[in-house]
Amino acid sequence: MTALVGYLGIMLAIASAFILALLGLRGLYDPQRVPRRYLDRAVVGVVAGAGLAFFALEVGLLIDDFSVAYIADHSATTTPFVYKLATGWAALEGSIVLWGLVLAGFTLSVHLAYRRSDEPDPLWMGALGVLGLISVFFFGLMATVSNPFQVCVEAATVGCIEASNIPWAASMASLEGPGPNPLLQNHPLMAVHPPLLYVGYVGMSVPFAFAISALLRGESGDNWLRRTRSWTLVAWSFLTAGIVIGGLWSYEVLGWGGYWAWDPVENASFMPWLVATAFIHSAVVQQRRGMLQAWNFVLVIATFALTILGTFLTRSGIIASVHSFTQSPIGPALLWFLTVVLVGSLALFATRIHLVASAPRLNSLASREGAFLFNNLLLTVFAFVVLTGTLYPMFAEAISGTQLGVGRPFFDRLAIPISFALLLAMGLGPITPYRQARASVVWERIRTPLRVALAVGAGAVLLGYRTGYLVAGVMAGTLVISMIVRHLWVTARRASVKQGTPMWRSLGRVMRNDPGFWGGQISHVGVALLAIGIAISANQGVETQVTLEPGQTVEFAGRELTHLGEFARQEPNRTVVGARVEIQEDGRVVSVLEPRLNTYFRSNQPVATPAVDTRLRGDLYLSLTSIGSGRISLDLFWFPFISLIWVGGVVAAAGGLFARVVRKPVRVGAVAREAGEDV
Amino acid sequence: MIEDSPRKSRKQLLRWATVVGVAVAIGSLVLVFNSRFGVDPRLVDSPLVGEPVPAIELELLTGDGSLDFTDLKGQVLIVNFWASWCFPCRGEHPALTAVANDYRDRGVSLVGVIYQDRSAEAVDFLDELGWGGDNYHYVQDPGSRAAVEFGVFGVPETYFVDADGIIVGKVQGAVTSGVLRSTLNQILAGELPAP
Repeated sequence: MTALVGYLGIMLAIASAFILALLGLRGLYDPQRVPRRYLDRAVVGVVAGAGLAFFALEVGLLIDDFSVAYIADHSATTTPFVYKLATGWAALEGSIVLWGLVLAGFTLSVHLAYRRSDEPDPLWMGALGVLGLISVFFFGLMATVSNPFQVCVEAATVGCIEASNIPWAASMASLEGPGPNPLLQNHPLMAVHPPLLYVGYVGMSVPFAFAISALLRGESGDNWLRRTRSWTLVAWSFLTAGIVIGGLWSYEVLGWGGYWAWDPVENASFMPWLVATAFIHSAVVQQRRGMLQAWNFVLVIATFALTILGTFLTRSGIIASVHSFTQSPIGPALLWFLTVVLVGSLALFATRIHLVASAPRLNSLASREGAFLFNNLLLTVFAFVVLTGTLYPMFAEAISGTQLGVGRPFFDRLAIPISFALLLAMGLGPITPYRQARASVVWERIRTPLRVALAVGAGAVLLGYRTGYLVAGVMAGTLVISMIVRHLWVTARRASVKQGTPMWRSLGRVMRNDPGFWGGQISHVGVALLAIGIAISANQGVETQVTLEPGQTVEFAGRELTHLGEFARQEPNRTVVGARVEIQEDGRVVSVLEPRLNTYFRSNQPVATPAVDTRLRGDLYLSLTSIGSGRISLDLFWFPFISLIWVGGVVAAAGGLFARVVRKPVRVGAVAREAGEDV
Repeated sequence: MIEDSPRKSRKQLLRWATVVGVAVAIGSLVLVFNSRFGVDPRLVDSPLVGEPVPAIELELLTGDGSLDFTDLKGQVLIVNFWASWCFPCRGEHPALTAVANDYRDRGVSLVGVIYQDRSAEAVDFLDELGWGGDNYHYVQDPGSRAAVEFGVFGVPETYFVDADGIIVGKVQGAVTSGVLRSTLNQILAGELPAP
C-alpha cells in the first residue's frame, strides 16, 4: 500500500514536471499562448506528487512497513522516532525523495512569486520550464534506478533479499529491519544536517533556471539576477548552515576531535559554496556597475554543475568516504545528467555570449569593483584548488593505475594563504569606494581598525600565543570585524546627528536601510569569527592519550580528571557502556562527563560518542577508545575557543537571511525602482 | 574594418581554443568518472597482494575433514572472512553464492572463513541465506589463525587468489556482485585486477 501510494506520487510528479517543462519552454517564446491556470496545475501536480511520495515514505517508516524494501533495509522497529523520520533521507533512495520535495518547494515558490503579475513574463516561464526539466530528471531517478518504493518480494528474518520495481508485486515483509547505519542514529544533528544542505544545494537550481532562461532568450541586463537574488541568498544561507552543522556533527559524533577532513564529499559541498559566494559578490558588481555580465552566467552554471557533481560523487560510490553510498546504477544516470548540464549550458552560453557580455568598464583596480574582482579571483581559485585535490586521485588512478590520496597537507598549504588573502579582501573591500578609491579615504577608514588589530595581536603574543598563524589569523579576523563595527558606528553617528535621533535607533535604521550591504557585513563578521576560531583551536589545541584505573586522577590542560567508574545501560535500540569522569578546576568540580561506546543492535562495531564540555574559553573533549575490567583508555583534547567556529557559521548564515528578509523602508523616490524587483 | 581583421581572427581563435579546452576538460572528466564504475574504491592495497596464499589447514564448518588453501591451487579463489553477527556480511552473502554458482564451471572456488563466531550460529546463518554450491567451502578458524595470516582488519573482508595461489586483490567491507564479477573476469583473463 505504502509502495503503491508513493509510486503514484512519483508518477504524478513526473507527468506534471514534464507538462511544466513543455509549458514553460513554450512560454519562453510565446508567453501569451500559455494560460497561467495551466501552469498552476502543473506546479500543483509536481508539489502534490513530491509531497505524496515523501509522506508515503515517512508514514511507511513510522508504521514499520517492511514490505517496502527501503524500509526493511534501513529502519527497525526499535529505531527511535526522530531517527525513523531521518531514515527517510539517510540512505540513497530516500535522499533523492527529499531532494525532489525540496525542488518542488522551490518550484512552487518561484511560481507563486510571479503568477499574479498581468504582464507576459517569458523569463519566468522559461525558468519554470527549466525547473520542470530538472524535476523530470530527479523524479525519473526515483521511478527507475533509485526507487525508494521497491516492493520486497523475498524477505529474510532481518531485511529484504530481493526487491521488485513493480509496485503491485506480491510483497513479503521481514519481521525486523537492521536499523539505520549506527553513525547516523547517534546524534540528532544528523536529522538536521542533510535537509539544510539539500535546501542549499537545490536552491541553486533557481538562479540557474533563470540564467538558462535568460540565455535562451538572449536577454542581457541584470533582470534575471535581481529576480533570483532572494533564492540565491536563501540557498547560500542554508548551504552555509548545512556545512557548518555537518562539521559540528562530525566533531560531536566521530570522536576524532576534528570537524573537517577535506573528505571528498565535504569538498563537494564546499566547492558550490565557494562559487556561490563568488556569484553573490559579482552579482552586486553587475547590479551596481553593469560589469561582469558574462562572468555571472559562468558562475551560476558552475555552481549548479558543482551541486550535481557533489551529488554524483556522493551517490555514485566511485569514491570511498564517510558519506558515500554503495555503487548502484544511479551513478551512470547522474553522470549523464552532469554531462548534459555542462555541455548544454556551456554551449548555450557560448552561442549567446555576444548578446549578454558587457564591455569591461573598470576605472581602476583600486576601487570596490577591483576588490570584488580580487575576491572573485580568490574564491574561484580556491574552488579550483579544492576541485583539483578532490579529483586528482581519480585521474591519477585512471592514468597510471596507482592509488594515492591527496591529504590534508595539500589542502591546508593552499587553503591557508588563500583564506588570509580572502580575509584581507573582506576587510578592505566593503570600505573601498566604487570607481576610484583615493588612498587617503581608505587610510582614514582603516586607521583605527588597524590599531585595534595590532593591539589584539600584541595582546595575543603577551598572553603566550606565539604561533605565527594564530597571531596572523586573530589579527586578520579582528581587523575585519573592527572595520565593520567602525563603518557601522560612523554611518550611524552621522545619521544620528543629521536626523537628531538617538544613536541606538540610528544603528538599526542604518542597517535596515541597506539590508543587502549590512547582511553581507553580518556574514563577514561570521566568517571572521570562524577564522579566529579555526586559527586558535587548530594551533593551540592539545591532545593526549591516557589509561585510567578507577579512582585514578590525571592532569590535563589545567584540569584534574578523575575516573569515577563505569556504567552500562540498555536502551531500546542500543547498548551503552561508558565511564564517568569528573572534571575539577582549581579544586572545584565543574562537571562530570560521560564518554560512551554505543553498540547498536545488529552491528558489532561500537560507535564511540565523545563527551564534550563546552565553555566560552574552550572545549574539553573526551573520547573513549577502550573500556573493560575497570580500566578505561581516553583520547583527551583541549580546543580553546572552538565554539567560535559554530557561532561564526551561524552568524554568517544569518547574515544571508538578514539580507533576504529585512525589507528596505520604501522612500518616495525609490518606489518606482522597487516596484519592479519586489518579490 | 580591414585593420580590425587580424584582431578579430585572433579573438576567434581564442574563442575556439576555449571551446576545445572546455570540451576536452568535460570529456576527460566523464571518461575518468566512467572508468570508476564497477571498480570498487574499497579494493585496497594490501601488503599481502603479490604474496602466496598462507598454507594453513582449517577444519570444515560441517562434517569431518579439513581444507588447505594450497590444495586448491589451480583454482581461482575468493576467500571471504565473515561472521553471523556481522550485518554487512548478511548483505553481501547472496552476491557471493550467486557468483559461486555462475563461475563454477570456470574453475572458481569460494572459501568462507568464519571469524570469531560460533559454528552453530554460522550454520543457522547459512541455512537462512543459502550455502551456495559444492564449490563454496566453509571453514572454521579457531584462534583466528587464518585471519591473522591474512591480516584481516574487520569483517567482512574478501581476498582474491589466482590459479597460481598468489593473492591478487583485497576488498574491505561488503562486496557487491559487480565488483566480484569484474575482478574475477580480470583474473580469469590473466590480468592483475586494478585496485
